[in-house]
Amino acid sequence: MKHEKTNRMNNLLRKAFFPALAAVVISMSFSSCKPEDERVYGSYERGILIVNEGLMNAGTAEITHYNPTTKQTQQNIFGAANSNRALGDVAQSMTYYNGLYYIVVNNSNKIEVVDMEFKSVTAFENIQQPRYIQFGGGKCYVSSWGNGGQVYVLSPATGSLIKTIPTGFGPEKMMLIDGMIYVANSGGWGHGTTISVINTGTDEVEQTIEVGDNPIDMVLDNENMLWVLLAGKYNESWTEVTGAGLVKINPRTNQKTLTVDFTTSTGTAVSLCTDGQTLYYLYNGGINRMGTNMEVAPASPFISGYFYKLYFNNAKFYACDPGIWQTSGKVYEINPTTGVGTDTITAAIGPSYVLFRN
Amino acid sequence: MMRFFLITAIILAAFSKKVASQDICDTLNLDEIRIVEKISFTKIPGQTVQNLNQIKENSGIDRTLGEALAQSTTINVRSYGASGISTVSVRGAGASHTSVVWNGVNIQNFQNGQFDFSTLPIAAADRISLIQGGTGAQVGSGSIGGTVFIDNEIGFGSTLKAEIGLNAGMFGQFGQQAIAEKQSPKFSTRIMVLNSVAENNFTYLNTNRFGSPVDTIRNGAFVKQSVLSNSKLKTGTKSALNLHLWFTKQHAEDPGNMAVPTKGHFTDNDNIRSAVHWEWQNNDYVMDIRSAFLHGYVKYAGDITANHFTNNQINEISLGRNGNLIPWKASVVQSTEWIHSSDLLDSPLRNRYSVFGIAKYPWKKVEAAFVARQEIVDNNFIPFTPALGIDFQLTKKFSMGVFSSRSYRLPSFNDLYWTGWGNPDLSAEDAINSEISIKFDNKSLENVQKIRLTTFNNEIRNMIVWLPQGSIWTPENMDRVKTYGLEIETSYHSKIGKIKYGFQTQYSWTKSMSGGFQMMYVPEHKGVVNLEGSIKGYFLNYNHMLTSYRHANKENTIYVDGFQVANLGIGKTLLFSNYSFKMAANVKNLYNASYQVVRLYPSPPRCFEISLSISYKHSKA
Repeated sequence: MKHEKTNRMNNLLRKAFFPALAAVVISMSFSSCKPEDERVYGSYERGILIVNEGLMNAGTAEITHYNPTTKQTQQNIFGAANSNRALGDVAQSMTYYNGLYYIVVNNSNKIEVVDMEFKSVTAFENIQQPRYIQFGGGKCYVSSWGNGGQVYVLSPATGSLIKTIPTGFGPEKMMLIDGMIYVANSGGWGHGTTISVINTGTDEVEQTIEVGDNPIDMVLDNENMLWVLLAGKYNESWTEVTGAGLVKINPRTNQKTLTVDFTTSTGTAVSLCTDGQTLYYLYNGGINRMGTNMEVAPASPFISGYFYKLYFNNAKFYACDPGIWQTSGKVYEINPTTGVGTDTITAAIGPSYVLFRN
Repeated sequence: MMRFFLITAIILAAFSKKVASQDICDTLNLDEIRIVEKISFTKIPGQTVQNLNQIKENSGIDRTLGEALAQSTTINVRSYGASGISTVSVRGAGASHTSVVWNGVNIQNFQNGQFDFSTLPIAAADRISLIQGGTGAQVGSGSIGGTVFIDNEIGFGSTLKAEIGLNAGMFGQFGQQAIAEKQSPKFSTRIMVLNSVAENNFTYLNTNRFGSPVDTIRNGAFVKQSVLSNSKLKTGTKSALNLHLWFTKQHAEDPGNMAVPTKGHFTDNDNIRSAVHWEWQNNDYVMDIRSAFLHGYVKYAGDITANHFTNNQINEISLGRNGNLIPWKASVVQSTEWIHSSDLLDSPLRNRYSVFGIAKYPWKKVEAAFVARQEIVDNNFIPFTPALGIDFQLTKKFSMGVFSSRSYRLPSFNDLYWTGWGNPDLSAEDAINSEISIKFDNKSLENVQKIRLTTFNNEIRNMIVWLPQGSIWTPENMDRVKTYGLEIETSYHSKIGKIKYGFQTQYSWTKSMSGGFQMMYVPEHKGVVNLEGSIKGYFLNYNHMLTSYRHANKENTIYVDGFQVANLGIGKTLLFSNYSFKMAANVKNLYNASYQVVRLYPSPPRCFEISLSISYKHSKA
């Protein structure tokens, strides 16, 4: 009888104890890790970060931080966090990687690396005319206009050079797709017509795709098709631009599937962004939009005006307005359906790159 | 900062005591070149003329006008490094708002509207004077902020003079100077040759780089050469003919800045300046006829190469009346400016005519003057430019001045004619300047004490700003700047036995506002202290400058740290018969401050210099 009781007790314990223990362990494991929204973020870990080029040779590049919730703007956060140290000359772009921001300072030939408080961690120097950074395969790829055009492969921690990969003239935007880095060779100070495809495993150019005059920007749509914006080129008297357009590439085959020609204009095409279904780009005196299912570009801009760069985030697109380039520019948040501005961020001189930290 | 205020406080305390006890006139005679000087410009009551000759006396032969202005005034000198250009901002106005008048001729560059103060060695001037505030009515275009006057004067006599000078300093600085002068009762002439070189290969803290490591300036060398000739011929018992010739040649490398070091960039800047001036006067009338020709060549070599040849011919005739109840003077000026430039379309030319008049009304303890100028440029009337100034002698030692004027600046040739980008429809910039000064002057044979308090208010309209229009930039008349502030100047010079000593302090508070923001690179606070002493041929001078932080962008979100810099000079003058030997040692940047006048352009660290000059003078009785 006693034995039966004991067995029953053991069975009960066996049945009750292990689920209870599991519940305690699971609850402990949850409690030891704070929910995401309770984590203490760095001062500039969330929000909108705007890279301002500043005036060339004046060293007035700076970073603006905007909190879309409180609508508060902080200017010159790099200088404020680093004892008034100048960021440098012509800040070009900024990339987040592994808890750090990598700021490309084009005319200072360097990359500043800062933490989430924007305190300097290190700097990668002597990189000739760097433009953009793309991380892939645990490495840092930097497009560079110097010496005819190449992509530098650097160690993200130390900045030490792993490899130099020659590309076409003026390598600009890069995109990582399935272990391949697509590099738009924009021509830089000359003329470029290709996309270089770099294998991050071997750091070799696996393929070079001819696309047209001066490919300057790229996006991926919802069907994982790569769209390339061609800036076009000026005629000899610098009065007219021809050759601007869009090229659609299937990254699985690296074959062009569509070419959309733009009409001639007085300025080059500049910037491209997308929500996955609609393309937004700067050309012909304003912001144009075109569905990814369309094959003909619109005849006139969707929004007229002089803008410098376009970005898309959270169902809104953002247009950088450098104004007169000597005073603070603006970044407009715009409803992509109505074209109506929904917010205005005051930046610094020449806002050119926007990094969203949602 | 504390060091500056401590020194200022000690000096002011000492000075206030001296002022309180200074009622007795003595019979000692002061060597007082600061008080009365013959000047080539028309001083208007209510304005303050600062004489900068003392800084010339204390300087080495390679000292530039930019350095002299920084050390002896509170006007803001913006230097782009040791071999870069220097521009100035007076009372919060812009870099193109200060004109430089050499022997009565405005030598401001009409192509860019500016003057590079690093190209002018002060050794080439006999007198340097500064008027802060609008001088458009007297000088014409480009004098919204103020004017620096450079004068050469040679007299008649029976004297033979010769001088050679050498100096050497750290960072490859070497200078040579030779002067020969012959004065006779009917003809006098002088020739001066100056040569100055520097490597400027100094080290600095590169605050643009991570960790602010020590870097060395590369490609910052310069060579500056100058030949100056002044001659005077007596053409009658009441008339004389003056001829001034000045050739300058400069090659300056451009090392870039901390963020963007450059290699192989340089600027060549050559000038030929000539002026002929005939003067006649009797007891009642004064007549001047002046003709000048200025030629400049500038070559920029770097990322972009450009060549500019500027020419300017100026003719002026003026007639004035002295000794009357209402002295007056009237002038007519004709000038033609033309240029050949790789950046400008065709070879633009501009014809200018202006009529200038001044009438003074001295009455008991009040002196008033009304001045007016009307300029016609290529058959277009520029706004009428009047000025009114009044001096009130309140007591024997206190006086008050009130001055108000209109000033203007013509668009530069770059603004008007830059290929594809210039705007030929631009209007002149226009300004209203006002100031009130209170002065205390206590002069005796033993002591000279001065205090000046000036408050000023200026409004500049139609400022020319370059704006992007699509993919190009064009200039427009759009900005409005309001400047106001306060200046305090004190000086004291005295003598105890064989010891001569003195000091000068200046402080300025300047607000220069555009769109609610302080204008770029205009410091709110500036201060200068100069101490000097001499005994038995030994002399010592100490200069201390304070500049508060300055904003480096229009919205005032970026700034350049304030700084203090001191300079020390010590030397000995020996006299042997007709010979004079002067040996001096200078320490520039005495406390080895690491500072930037313009963001990212490093200034030199502590620098030691020595100089030696030998002069001979023989006068017939």
